Amino acid sequence: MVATKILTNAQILMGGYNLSADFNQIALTETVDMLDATTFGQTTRIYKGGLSRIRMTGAGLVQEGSGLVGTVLYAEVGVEDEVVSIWPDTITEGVFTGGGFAFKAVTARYTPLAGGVGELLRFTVEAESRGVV
Amino acid sequence: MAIMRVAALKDFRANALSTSQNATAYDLGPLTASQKLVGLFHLTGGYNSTQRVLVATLQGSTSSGFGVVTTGFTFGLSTAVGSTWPAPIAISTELRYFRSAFAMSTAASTGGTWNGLAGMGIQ
Repeated sequence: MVATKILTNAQILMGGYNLSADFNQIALTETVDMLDATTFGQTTRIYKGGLSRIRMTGAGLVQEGSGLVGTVLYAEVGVEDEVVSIWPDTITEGVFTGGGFAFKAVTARYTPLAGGVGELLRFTVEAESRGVV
Repeated sequence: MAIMRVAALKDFRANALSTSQNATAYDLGPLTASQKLVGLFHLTGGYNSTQRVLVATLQGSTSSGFGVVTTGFTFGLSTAVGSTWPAPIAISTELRYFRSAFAMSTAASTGGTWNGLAGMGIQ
């Protein structure tokens, strides 16, 4: 049986806030710059892995008020060294496999207002790695 | 910098801490000589007073009974929500079991609770 997982209870912690119940989409991506190392005489492009980066993108439903997601994310933009940890399905203590993923982040983009007529007000947020461990 | 896989050592987001304690120890090691220990700490609810202070640490030991304890990190957050991820450290490759420990000063007050999550990663 394939050990697939249905994403139903992801846990999202940003800094001092547990925002799990506010998000309904989450993605975590690690990339490296692809440096073109092609020289004369090659018949295909040759790439070399460059600097890496981590990006978290997420979306959810806006709630405004002290300690609520709209207020928290608004204040997070540009703040450096916030710890972001994302856990695919609840949090089980004492395991790496099935555990979470974390990085030191700076929130790069926050869209506090998105949606169409008749829809719930949505937010989107992007955080990038600070580049330090 | 790569995405770091992390393991939770103590999830006290829902069940707040109100007393000093050593959390359950987990077999998450040992690290190799080239690896470093990373600690992370989210404080999602803090007793906002200077009268009673939470000191959270990440500890390692060679045995599950924690006969000899090595303290890897002391997390600085204590009274305000936030997060911390101290610089990774090299530790003994003999350490295999890890836990979080919480000490609450009671000199001026015995009130207050804290919520959050303590975890570790290996770099």
